[in-house]
This record gives sequence, C-alpha cells and structure tokens, in this order.
Amino acid sequence: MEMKSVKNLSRRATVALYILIAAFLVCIGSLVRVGLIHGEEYKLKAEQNQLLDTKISAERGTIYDSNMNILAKSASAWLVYINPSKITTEEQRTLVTQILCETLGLDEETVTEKTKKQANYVKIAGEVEEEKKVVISDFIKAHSKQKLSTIIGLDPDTKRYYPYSSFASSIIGFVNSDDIGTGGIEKTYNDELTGVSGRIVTAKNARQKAMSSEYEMTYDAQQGANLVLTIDEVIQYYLEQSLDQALQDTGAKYAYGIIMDVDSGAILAMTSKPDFDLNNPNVISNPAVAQEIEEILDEGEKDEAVLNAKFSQWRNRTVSDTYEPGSVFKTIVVSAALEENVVDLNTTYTCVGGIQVANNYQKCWKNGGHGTETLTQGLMNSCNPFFITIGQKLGKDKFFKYFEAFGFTERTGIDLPAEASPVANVTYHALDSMGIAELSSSSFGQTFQVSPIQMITAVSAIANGGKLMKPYVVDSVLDADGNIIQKTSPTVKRQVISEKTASTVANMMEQVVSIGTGKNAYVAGYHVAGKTGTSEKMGKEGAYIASFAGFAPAYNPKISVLIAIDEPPGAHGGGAVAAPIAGEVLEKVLAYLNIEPQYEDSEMKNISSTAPALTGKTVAQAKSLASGYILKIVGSGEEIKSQSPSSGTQIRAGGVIVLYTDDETPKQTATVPNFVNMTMSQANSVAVNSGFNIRFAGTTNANEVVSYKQSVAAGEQAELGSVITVYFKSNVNVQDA
Amino acid sequence: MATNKYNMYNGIDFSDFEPRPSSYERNAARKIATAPAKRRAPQRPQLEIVRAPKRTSSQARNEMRRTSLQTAKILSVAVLLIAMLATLLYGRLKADELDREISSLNTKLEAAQSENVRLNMEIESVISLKNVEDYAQSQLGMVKMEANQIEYIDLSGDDVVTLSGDKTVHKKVGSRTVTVMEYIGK
Repeated sequence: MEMKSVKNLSRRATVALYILIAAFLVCIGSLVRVGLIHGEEYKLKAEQNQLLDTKISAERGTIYDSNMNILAKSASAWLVYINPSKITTEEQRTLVTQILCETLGLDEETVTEKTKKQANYVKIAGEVEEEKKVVISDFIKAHSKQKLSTIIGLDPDTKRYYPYSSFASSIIGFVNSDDIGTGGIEKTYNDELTGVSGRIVTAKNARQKAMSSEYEMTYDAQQGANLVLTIDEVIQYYLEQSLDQALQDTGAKYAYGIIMDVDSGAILAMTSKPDFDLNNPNVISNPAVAQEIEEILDEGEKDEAVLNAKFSQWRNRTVSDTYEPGSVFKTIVVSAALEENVVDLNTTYTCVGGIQVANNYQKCWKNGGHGTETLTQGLMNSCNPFFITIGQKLGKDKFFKYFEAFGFTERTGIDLPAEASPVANVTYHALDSMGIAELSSSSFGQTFQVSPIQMITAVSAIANGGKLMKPYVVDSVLDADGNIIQKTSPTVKRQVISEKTASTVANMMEQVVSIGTGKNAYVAGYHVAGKTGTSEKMGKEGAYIASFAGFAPAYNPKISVLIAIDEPPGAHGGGAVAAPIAGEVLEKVLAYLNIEPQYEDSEMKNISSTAPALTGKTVAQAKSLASGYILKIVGSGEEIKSQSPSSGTQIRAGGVIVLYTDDETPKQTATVPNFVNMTMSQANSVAVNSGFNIRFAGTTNANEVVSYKQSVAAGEQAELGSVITVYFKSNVNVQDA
Repeated sequence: MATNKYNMYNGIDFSDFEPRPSSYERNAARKIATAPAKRRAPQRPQLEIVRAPKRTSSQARNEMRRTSLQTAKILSVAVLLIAMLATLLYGRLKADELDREISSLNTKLEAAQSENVRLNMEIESVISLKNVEDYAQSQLGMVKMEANQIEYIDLSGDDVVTLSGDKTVHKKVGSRTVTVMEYIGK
C-alpha cells in the first residue's frame, strides 16, 4: 500500500515536471518567435506606436546656365486632396467644388466627379503655392460648421520653377508629379539633383501626439546638388530667336540647331523647335496641333493624338532624331580623301551632269554639269559626281575607316537622355554590306542617317585641328554651399585627321561661304566656314531637310553651328533656307563673344555710319554738320529740341534725320513700306523716300542679293527717321542638291 | 465525493504528523517523575495614570513658540516645494509654448522662403532677355549695337613705364632744397 502511494507520487511529480518543461519550452519558443523570428516586425510596430516619424523632403538642386543664371529651381508647395467619404451633404459638396475650382482654376465638372468617388483620398492638385493654400485654409476655417477640414486636406509638396518657360526646354527637361526628372538634364542627372530626404523622429504621448523637442531627433535632409550647364543664356536666346523666326518665315514643321565650343565640345546652345513650356509640359504648345486634336471626335483617337503631340514637343531632335546629312557630309569625305592623299587641292574633275554607278546613272543636281572644277570648287559647287568619284577612289575600307573615326557608328556620349543609337545596315551601311552603289551614294551624304549632334561633333573636329571631342552640357556639379564636387573635363576621343588636313578643309569650307553655296551664311567682318546640305527624308517623298554646318572664325575657329530646317514647304535648299539663319546667329554670337571683326575694304562700304548729335544746335548749324544726310525739319523754332534717330544710331550715309524744333509737335510717323524682294539699292531708295533709314543685314557681299525679310512689318506705323533692318540673301548658285 | 476526497489519505500514517511528546514523556528515566506543574497564565499589569508635570507659563510659551516655529518651517518648506513645482510646471509650459512658437516660425520661414523663390522666379521671367529686348526696341526705341561699333583695345603687349622727364615733384623739391642749402651756406 505504501509502495503504491510512493509510486503514485513519483508519477505525478514526473507529470508535473513534464508540464513545467513543456511550459518552459513554450516560453522559450515564444521568446524566440517574438525576439528572433518576428523581432524586427514587432520592433517596427512598437516604434510606430511610440514614435512619430515625419519625412523632410530634400530640396531638388538648382540648374544654372554658364553665367549662373537660374534655369530651374525648387521651392516648397502644397498638395491639395479631398476625402470624398466624409462628404455627407450636398452643401459640403458644393462648397468643396466652389473653393477648389475658384482657387486652383479647375474644371467644375471634374472636381464634382472627384467628390463623388468612393475613396478616402483623391488628389486634386499638386504644386499649389502658399498664396492659394492660405485662401483654401481660410475658407475651411470660415466654414467650420460644415466640417470642411475633414474633407479637404493639404500635404507638403514641392514645385519646380522654370523662370524662362520654354527657354532651353529640350535640354533642361522637366519633372513629373513625384519630382522625378523625366526629360533632358532633369532625367540624366536625376540622382544628383534629388538629394537625400531627412526625418524628424519624435516620441508620441499617450494621446498619440508628438512630445516636446527633448524627445525629438532630427536627421537633416541633404539638398540635391546644383548643376552648372555649358549653355550660355545669351547664345541660347540668339539661337532660339532665330529658329523661332525661321519656323514662322519658312512654315517648316521643325527647326533645330546646336552651337558648340569647338575646342572643348561644350554645348553653348541647343534647341529643337517647336518646344514647350517647362512649367506646363503637358499643355500642347503648338496652337495648330492643339486645334487639330480638339477637332478629333473619337476619344481613343484623341488621347493617342494628345500623347503623340506631347512626345513630339518633348523630343530633343538634335540628339534623338537622325537625318540624311546630304552635302554637309562632303566635308567628311574630302577630309578623309585629303588625309589619305587620294586627292589634293590641285585635283580636278570634269562634271558633265552625271556619272554612271553600276547600273544607275547618278545625276548632278546641276543640269549640264559644273564642267571642270578643282577640289575646292567641287566643294563650293557641292558637285555630286565629283564626290562619288572621290568616294570610289577612297574605297570602301578607307571610307568606312573615316566614317567610324568621325564617330558616325557610335553614340557621341553626350550627357542627355535618348541619344539615337546608330545601327549597322539600318541607319548606315556596314563595311561588309557596302557595295559600289552604297559607297557612291554615301559619298555625297545620302542613303544613311546621322544625328545632328554626331554631325556637329564631326564638323567641330575639322575646326579644332582634327580632334573628335565628346560633347557635354553639364560643366560642373556644385554642393549646396557652392563648392565644386564634379567638374567635366573636355574629352578627346581620338585624333581623326591631321591638323594640316583640318586646316586645308577649313579653308575650303571658308570658300564655300564666301563665294559658294553657303554664301548666305556670310557675316561681314568674320570669315565663316561651312557647308550646306539638302536631303530628302527617307520614306517621305517631297519632304526635305535643309541644313548648314560650319564654324567661325574660319582661321581661328571658336564655335561651330548646325542649323536644320525640317520639312520647309517651299524652298528647301540648305543654301537658301538654313544658311541665312546660320549667318544671323553667327553674327550675333560672334559679337557677343567679343571676337573682333576684321573688315575688308569691300565690306566697309556697306557699314553704316552713325547719326551726328544735332540736339541743341541751331537749324543752320545742323544743316552744316549733317550735310551728308537728308534733314527733315519739323516745327517753327530755331533750335533743335530733339532728333530721330538719336545721335550715335547706325544709319547709312545719305539717310534721313528728322529734327524737331519745338517740344509741342508730336512725333511724325508713317507707314512702313514693304522692302521684301528688292535689291539693296532699291530698298535703300524706298526707305529714304518713305522717310526711314535702312540697315542692311545678312548677305551683302554679292550683287545678286535680294531682301527676304524686314525687322518692322510692312504696313505698321513707325516714327520717321527710325532704322529698319532689311535682310538680304542670294538665290543664285546656292543650290546643293 | 467529499468522503472519497478524504479517503485518499487512508494509506498515510498521520501519526507521523502529530506533535512529538515532550522530552519528559519520551525519557524513560523520568517516566516516574512527576511532571512540573503547569505555569499559570500571567496576569495583566494594571495601567497606571502618569500625570504630566505641571508647566510654567514660560515653558508653555516656549513650547508654543517652538511649535509655531516648526509649523512655520514646515509651511515654508511646503511653500518652497509648491513654488518649485509651480516653477517646474511653468518652465515646462513655457518650453512647450516656445516649441510651438519655433515650429510655427519654422513653418512661416519655410512659407516665406518658398514665396521668395516664387517671386524671384517671377522677376526672372519678367526680365528675361526676350522681354528686355522687346521693351528696349519697342518702348525705348533702342537699337542693338553692331560689331563694327565696338573698339577693341590691344592689351597683348608688355607693360611699359613712362617717365615724365625732369618734371617730377621729387626733383623739384630736391632742387629747391639744394637752393635753400646753398643760400644758407653763403
């Protein structure tokens, strides 16, 4: 009996021990689960419960031009949202719609629809400025009875400002609603510009409110880096101004241009027109396109058209598009041929109007041919059979060697997104598949495509003594305090041709502009070197691209320029359409860069003189001082009170000066006559007879030039004596295709 | 059921748990000896009333003074403690208030900074090259300077020092001094 009870006790003790061990194991297991397996999760939950974590957005870096003018800058703003689930009455809906539409300029129907959504969070608008936020906040406070504070919410946001709207839009790019760069520099340098967000971690009290600052830990946001571009605001402005005008004058579909520093490869200006407003990138900037889209009835088709129009206006055609370079490419062929001693300056060729290539007869653009011509004349005349012959003499191996060396088979590596990638046998003829026909057509710049940035980089190599540079648009990266943290050094990719060859080709190109097909790019006082080009767009009959690529000053090149006019409806020759624009741009840019002009005697005669200072003089004195001018005296006084044009203004000798002898007589005005399609002497005589002064611009070194535009439109009223700039160009021997 | 509960202890000898007999009972030699008489329960002592000694009036006064002094001390400490507590609370309140103020000012500063950026950008857009050129030409009647109007100065040569011959102040002063010295020396 006793033994039994002892056994019983022992069994029970064992059971109890097992239970204890099991409980202990459960405890250990729980500890492992909570501490090790789900440790992080519980830690996070605890932190969430105990800590208040507020994100501090890092300010996006600023973008400057090369003169430290701000091109893009960010500032804090607000995001307005609504909680439609809290709208219980129609009165609330009306008030919400009213304030949001009035303040943010939104469509009433759209906002009303949003208020009817079954959601807790519906974004209304981002990038709302402080001023508008205050209006909304005050409205919410004023309608506290309607509990609008539970419906309308405001979250911190940032807004990117682009002060010059569409200026340099294809280079700068823009950011999306999440402040991420989606084009141009904003995209390429998004990581540098973004910075690192900061945090404020605060302990929460029992009511889930932040405790005082002693329980607060702040991790400051690191502002994004600032970028200094190689783009010069003034040069960019000149380029854009001229291309805008070109689009207007020619009615072309697109116009694009690049100006490059030939020694470093730095891009000084780059544009692709029509462009878009950086502050409203989603708005179709071209009114004609917007109107066309508006007229589309099918919603799906309309959406697609809108999308295409947006992508089209955002596209940087100088980098992302390819085109047939046409005769501009002849500069590359002649460089290769001279470098390989296949030809020299004394080489002659007799153009009879065409050449047989395999089974095809390739015609020269000039009916009847150019006759016998030297190498320089061949380039000046842009003679296709001559260049076919040079290409054939060079052979496909050497041709391709230089095609590759000038960088046409690879991307330039410019720091801009979406650079067109050359594809063998698609955009150009690979060496293996190059036959005599391909070699011949390629020799005068047809049947293959290059991007404008590739072309200007190659032309710059001729200008700088044969070095192929890597183009770039960001000069340096600065930290928030303005210290340079990264500086772009010019990169020489390779020496393509010798300095001697480069210099020879530069001289030949100077002749092209002085007396050849590029004469419309002539700038008085400067020697410009260049080559015109005309090419039919692949797969689009009747659509042409007129282009000009060159550099200046020809004997000590500083800058290169490429102008392309895409699909001009009328005249489409590079010499007639693109070269005058290049001349206009170069004239302004060279003066801006303080490159001293060297006028020749023939140029001096066309340079205007300055109006003498006649104010304060008597009428008799004025007549004596300005004997070489036509004086028109207004008023009955004896002393000159004012004059038009004012002293120092550039006017031609024999121009008109209007003298006012009293202060009461109003300024005399007249209707501006039409100066277009006149010779220089005709225009001058019309101007003098109308009481205006004339300034000659554009090509003025040839006799056959005619005016093609004027600074003040015909029919407008202008003050007598004022100076009207009339632009001239030659239409003789400027064809190149 | 209750009986069963107790029956489960049937196998246990409860005598083991009973109190052991005293040493007298267990000692065989003393079994014959009479056990000592059991002690009588002690009687409660009678309470005595002690009368406090009679105090003199001066003693009473002193005692009262001491008591009031002690009370005053306690009160002072209490007041001090309350004051300290109040100061602490006020300090905390003030700190909270300043925190809120800092936070509010920071918000205002941020708003002002963003407004500053906005206005600067507006100014920049107003004075863009295009607008300036348009205004200069259309409103002020200005004409752009041409390249041939610029006069370039050649500074590429070496620096040159040009002496003004004998007409220097030093020489003039020097010659006058010599004249004066000569005059004195005469």
